[in-house]
Amino acid sequence: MHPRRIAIVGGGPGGLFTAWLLERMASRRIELTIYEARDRVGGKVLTPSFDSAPVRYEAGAAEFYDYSAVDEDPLRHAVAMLGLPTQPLGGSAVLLDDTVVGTADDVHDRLGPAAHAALLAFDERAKAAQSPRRFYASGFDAVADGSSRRFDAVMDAVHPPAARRYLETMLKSDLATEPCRTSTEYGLQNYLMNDPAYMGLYCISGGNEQLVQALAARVAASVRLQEPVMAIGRTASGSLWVESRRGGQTLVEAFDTVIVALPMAHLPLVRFVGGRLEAALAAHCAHHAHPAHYLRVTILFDRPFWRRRVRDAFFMLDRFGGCCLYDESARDPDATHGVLGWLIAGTAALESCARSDDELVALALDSLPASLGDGRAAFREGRVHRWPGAVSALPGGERLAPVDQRHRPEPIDHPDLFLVGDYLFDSTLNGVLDSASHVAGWVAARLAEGPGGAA
Amino acid sequence: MIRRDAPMDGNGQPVRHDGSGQEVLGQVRVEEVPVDDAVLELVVLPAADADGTRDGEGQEAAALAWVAACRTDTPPVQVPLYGTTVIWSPSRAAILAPHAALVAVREALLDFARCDAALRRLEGEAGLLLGRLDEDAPCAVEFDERHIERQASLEERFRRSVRLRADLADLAPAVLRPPVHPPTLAAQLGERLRERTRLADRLEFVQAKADVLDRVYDLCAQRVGDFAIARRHLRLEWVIIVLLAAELVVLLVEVLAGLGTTPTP
Ligand SMILES: Cc1cc2nc3c(=O)[nH]c(=O)nc-3n(C[C@H](O)[C@H](O)[C@H](O)COP(=O)(O)OP(=O)(O)OC[C@H]3O[C@@H](n4cnc5c(N)ncnc54)[C@H](O)[C@@H]3O)c2cc1C
Repeated sequence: MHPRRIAIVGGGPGGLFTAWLLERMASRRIELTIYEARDRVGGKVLTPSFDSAPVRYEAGAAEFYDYSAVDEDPLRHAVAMLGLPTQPLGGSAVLLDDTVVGTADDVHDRLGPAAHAALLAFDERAKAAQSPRRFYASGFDAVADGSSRRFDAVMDAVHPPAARRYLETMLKSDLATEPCRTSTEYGLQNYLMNDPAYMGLYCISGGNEQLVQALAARVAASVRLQEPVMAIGRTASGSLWVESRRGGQTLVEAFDTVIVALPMAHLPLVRFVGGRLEAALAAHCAHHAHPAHYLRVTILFDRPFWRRRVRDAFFMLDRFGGCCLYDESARDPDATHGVLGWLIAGTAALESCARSDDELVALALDSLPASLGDGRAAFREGRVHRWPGAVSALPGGERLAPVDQRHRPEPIDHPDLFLVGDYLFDSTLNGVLDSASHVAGWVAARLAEGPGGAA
Repeated sequence: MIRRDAPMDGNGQPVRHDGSGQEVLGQVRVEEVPVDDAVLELVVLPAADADGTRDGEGQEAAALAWVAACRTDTPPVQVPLYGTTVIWSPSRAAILAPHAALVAVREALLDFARCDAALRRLEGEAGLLLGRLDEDAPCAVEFDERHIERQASLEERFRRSVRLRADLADLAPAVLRPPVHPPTLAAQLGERLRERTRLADRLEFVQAKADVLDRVYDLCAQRVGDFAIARRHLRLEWVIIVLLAAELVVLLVEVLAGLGTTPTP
């Protein structure tokens, strides 16, 4: 019996997780091919170094979400299975007009008792709306209620303005969009993720990119770098064909199963051939295209001059419409330098994409509150990474469809074409792993049932 | 009287002793607070400015030096957070905090110190009991006449291992309490102190030791109990044997007496 040929389009975490899981689950011989457009696998998980010093920083996903306090956490489990060391991350400070608002006491003392009461009421509302268990399961349930109610309606009800500003600054970089562009459910989830009863945060010691490197090292699949997939269709004999480009040449290959693990921004760039398939993919994209934007400015300093005032692994800043500042150097216990990473989100990120790197680095330096210290005096090197449309503002789409429907856009004529993506769940690595394991399990089951399978 | 290792005030002056168990200099005084079965010397220094921008570095260094001078095997843990700093070691601690936060931070520190001291005591107790384990473990398999003189000490260690278990159960909710959200300064400091001193891990380690002690001393107690019951049964058996023997003797005497007398027609 010849091995089943399976193509995975996209060598990001989604594609790599799918390959890894499928190789472990498959009960019969498979031949996996991963198509990756770029010269490296890993997608938005990358940990480059500065030019002027061998100092690492996170240019994409910076933190992993830990649900193990609530229930099983497949990502935590995968990280442990891959033997990767981790460290916790934490921070609660919000810098408003150069004032550090680190705790609820600070909200009371610095923003006033009314703001404190408003914060507690908001907290109450969020917790009443979703228990940790409900939050944990939220990506899987197809919801019929008004989950598409806009989050700005909730924010508009927050008074006084100081409390609203505090909350907006706190939430902005996790949402990656404006409250009017996302749902109440997702907005409140992004607030609740600060509560350790709902989740914890961690990173991989030595750089998050080790996750994708470890996955790539463990999969036996043939990985075709710099070979973007241009089109997918069905051959006359019934299998699926994948058209790719390598070194200016167009290549076409046939597969028994195709898994497309692309982010929403890249999916419409692939041509799906065949009336029904094309229509199904167009509908899928229309339902899920809610682009949200990020932009990262990361600066290497001679020393972590800000630590006299703030020592958290990250803190929020009321500039760029609300951004998160990661103290990247806090991840390295031996670091003598300082690294700050600005995660700019939403419209501010999209608008900033047009600016030059130098301009953005200058703007980032200007945004540092004076009391943190003199950033310009300690400046060594700045880096910029633009991520327009890279994440989803409304994961799962306007209305969360059943999980199978999300992953197989055209089940009648194309039951062997699957989609994997973080945007189908919560737009995070946890979400993309959930998506990958759903598809890997499904494909493995089909392999077992099919001719020559174990079943 | 001036203590050599007393805390410094803002001008670098050492603290003076007022003879009442508390040392006072200006606003600074050393409290002696009982925590579990230990005593914690505590200094509370109000910070000049609530935003943490005060030049409190000299004050902080002096407080750190004072806490470090108590020479325990645990180096001081220093937790700075949003303008407040807590420096702690098992026998000395200092708080540098804005006025408004002092009471809550002091309470959080003492709450943590009580947990740590209780856990330290239980770690010591588990260590002591484990030290006797090799000696006692054979009695978990067999206990007889040869071990009789150890019965009292085994019973005592069984009681102590049960007590250890109970104390651990009592302490666990305080060590494993969930984080407060939205976070307050006092709660965050308490959580960070618990994290830095790995209280939860340490609790788990003592619980693992208590598990071993539990098994061994539980079996020892069973063997001692079995032996006591067996001894009681043995004694009873002897009593019965003696009684039967006595009865036999009486019977024999009666028979012999009957043989000696000639029956009259
Ligand atoms: C700035 C930023 C911060 C983030 N922070 C976090 C975080 O803190 N925590 C978290 O959990 N998540 C975070 N995320 C989200 C996380 O990065 C994504 O969930 C994850 O990368 C999704 O994986 P993926 O494989 O679906 O997509 P990607 O990572 O985008 O990978 C897709 C891959 O497909 C390749 N590709 C594209 N088109 C083609 C084609 N036609 N043919 C072949 N290959 C193609 C791409 O080159 C890429 O390698 C962040 C994202 C961004 C942008």
